[in-house]
Amino acid sequence: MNNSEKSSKTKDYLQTKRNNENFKRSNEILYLFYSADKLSWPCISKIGVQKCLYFSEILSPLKEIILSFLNFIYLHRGPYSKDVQNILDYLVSLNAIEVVSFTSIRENSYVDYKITPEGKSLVENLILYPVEQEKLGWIEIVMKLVDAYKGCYDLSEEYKGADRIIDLVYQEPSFKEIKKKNVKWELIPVGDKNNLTMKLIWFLKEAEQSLPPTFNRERYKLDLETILLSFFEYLYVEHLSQKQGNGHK
Amino acid sequence: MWNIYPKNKEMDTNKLIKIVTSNPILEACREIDVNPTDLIKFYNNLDRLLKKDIPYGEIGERFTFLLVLTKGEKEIETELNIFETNVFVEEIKKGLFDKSNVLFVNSNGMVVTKFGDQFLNDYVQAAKLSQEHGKIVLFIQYMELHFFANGKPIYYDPNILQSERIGITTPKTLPAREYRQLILNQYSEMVSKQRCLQYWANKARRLLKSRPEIYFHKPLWWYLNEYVVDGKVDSGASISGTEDRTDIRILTFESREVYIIEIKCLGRTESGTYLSDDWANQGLIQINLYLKGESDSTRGTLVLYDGREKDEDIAWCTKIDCSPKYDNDPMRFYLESESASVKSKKIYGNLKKRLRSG
Repeated sequence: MNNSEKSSKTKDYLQTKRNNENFKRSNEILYLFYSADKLSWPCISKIGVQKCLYFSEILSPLKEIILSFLNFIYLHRGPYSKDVQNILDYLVSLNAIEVVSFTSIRENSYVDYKITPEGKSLVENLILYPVEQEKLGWIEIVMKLVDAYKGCYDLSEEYKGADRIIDLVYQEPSFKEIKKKNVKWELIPVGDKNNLTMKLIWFLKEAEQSLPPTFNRERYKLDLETILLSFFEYLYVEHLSQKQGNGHK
Repeated sequence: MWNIYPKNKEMDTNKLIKIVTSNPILEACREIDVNPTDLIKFYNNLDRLLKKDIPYGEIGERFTFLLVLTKGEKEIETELNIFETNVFVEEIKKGLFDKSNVLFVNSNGMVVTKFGDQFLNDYVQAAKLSQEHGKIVLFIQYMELHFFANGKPIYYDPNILQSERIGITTPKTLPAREYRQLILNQYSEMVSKQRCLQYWANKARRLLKSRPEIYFHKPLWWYLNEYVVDGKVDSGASISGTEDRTDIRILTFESREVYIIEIKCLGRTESGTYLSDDWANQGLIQINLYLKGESDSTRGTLVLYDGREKDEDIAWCTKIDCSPKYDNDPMRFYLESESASVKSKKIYGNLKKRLRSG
C-alpha cells in the first residue's frame, strides 16, 4: 500500500469514527427527548437541551457512564455546544424529533422540539443494547432532577420550563470557575474526573466521613440519587445566596 | 480518630454538610421509604405555591390543609391539582374544603382522594395521621407549616413567606459560637414583635398559655436551624446515656463544638400556675446537669422568656453548682404586652412628670 492509499484509508477511518461519534451523540440527545416525554414535558427548547445535556455529561463520571462528550464552551447563556444544533437538525431530518414552535427575535432563534412516535420507536430499539439502556437510565435520572428543580421559587421568570434551570447551571462549579475568568469560548472540562464539579461530588459521596463522632455517620450516608439531589440543592442554595449577595465566591 | 475536616477553598463544605444533615427532604427519606426525587419535586412546587402563588389576603385562615403524600401507585386521580393555583384557589374560595381539608396527593400535586369528611386544624392530629398511615404529612395553616414522616416531626416553619432554604448564607447567618447573638436576633425579629408566636392566652391580663415553653421552643429552633451556618440544630436531643432531652442542641461540623440551650418561661399561665424565681432556678440546675452529663458539650445557656407582671431581676440561688461550661449570663427577655400607643402614653406621662419636677 503506497502512502497516498494509506492516507486515504486513515481519512476514511477518521471520518467513520467521527460519524460513529455523531451517531452516539444523536442517540444520547434522543434519550433526552425520550425522558422529557416520559416526564410529560410538552417540549424542550434549544437552550433546555444544551443545559440538560451539560448536566448529564458533567456529572457522568459519578456513574462511570461513557457518554460521547460534546465540547462545551463558556458563552453568555452558560455552557454551550455548537454541535448540539447540528445534531438537532439531523434528528429533525430523521423525523425522530419535530419542531413544535419557532420564533426569531433579532439574531436569535428560539426553537422548541419534541420527540416523534418514530423517535420513540428508535429509542425502544436502541435500548435493547444494555450499554444504551444504561445511558438512557442515567439521562433519565438527571432529567428527573431537572424536572424536580425547574419549578423552584425564585428562579428566573424570564424563562419557562426546563430553561429555568439556567440559574442552577450558572452555579455549577466547573462552569462558574471559567466564568470567573471571563474568557468567552473557553472549553469547560466536561468528563474530567478531577474537575471542580466532580470534587464536589466526591466530597458528597463520603460526606458522612467528614462529620464529627457526635453524629451518627451511618445515618448521613448518601446513595447515588441523594448525592445528585444534594448537588442540585447546593446549586439552588448557591443561587439563592447569591441573590442575597452572599454566594460562595 | 475521625477524619480531619477537609479544608477546601474551592467549595463551601459547611454549606454542603448543612444540606446533607439538615435538608428536610433528606431527613424525611431517612425516616420513610419514599423516592427522594419525587419528594423534592413535590416540596419545590409546594414551596413555590406557598411563597408566590397563594393570595393569603383573600383566603386567609381558610388556607388550612393537611396533605398526605401518596406513592402514586395504582391511584385514581381526581381532576384537581393543587399546583394549578388558579383552579385550587377558586375551589378554596368556593368553600370546597371548608368541611374536609385532608387531601391525599401524589408527588405531581394531583389530588387522589379526600379523606372522609374531616376538618383537622391541629398539627398533633397531623402527626397522628402520619404515624397511622406511615406516610409523609404536611400540615399547613395559613403561613405555618409542619412536616411529619411516619409521625416524626421533620421540619417546622412558623412563617413560610419569611423562611429561607436550609444552607443559604444571608447577612443574618452566623457561626454557632455566636448563638447568643442569634437568640437576641430572634427575640428582636419575632418574639418582641409577636411575629409568628402566640404565647399570650390573655394579653391584657398578662396570662400566658399553658405549658408556655412550647410556644417559644419551636420558633427558636427554626430560627437557629435557618441561620446557624456551620452546624446542625437539633430539638429534643438526648443527653448521652440518659433519658434527658435538651430543648435545643447545636452540633458544629468542623470545630466539633456542642452548644446546649434550655428554655424556660416565667409568669402566670391560663391554667393558674405561677412560674417565677423557683422555675428559673430549676432551669439553671437543669442546664448545668445537661452540661455536666454531656461530655462533648462546649457551652450552654438558659433562655428565659419573662411574662411576669414586672420587669424584675431573678433572685438566683447562689448555691447552685454550675459547670464551667455554663455561660454565666442567662438571657432574660421581658415580654411586652402593651400596645405601642399605651406604651407611648405612659412614657410621655413620665416625661411630663420629670419636666414638672424640674
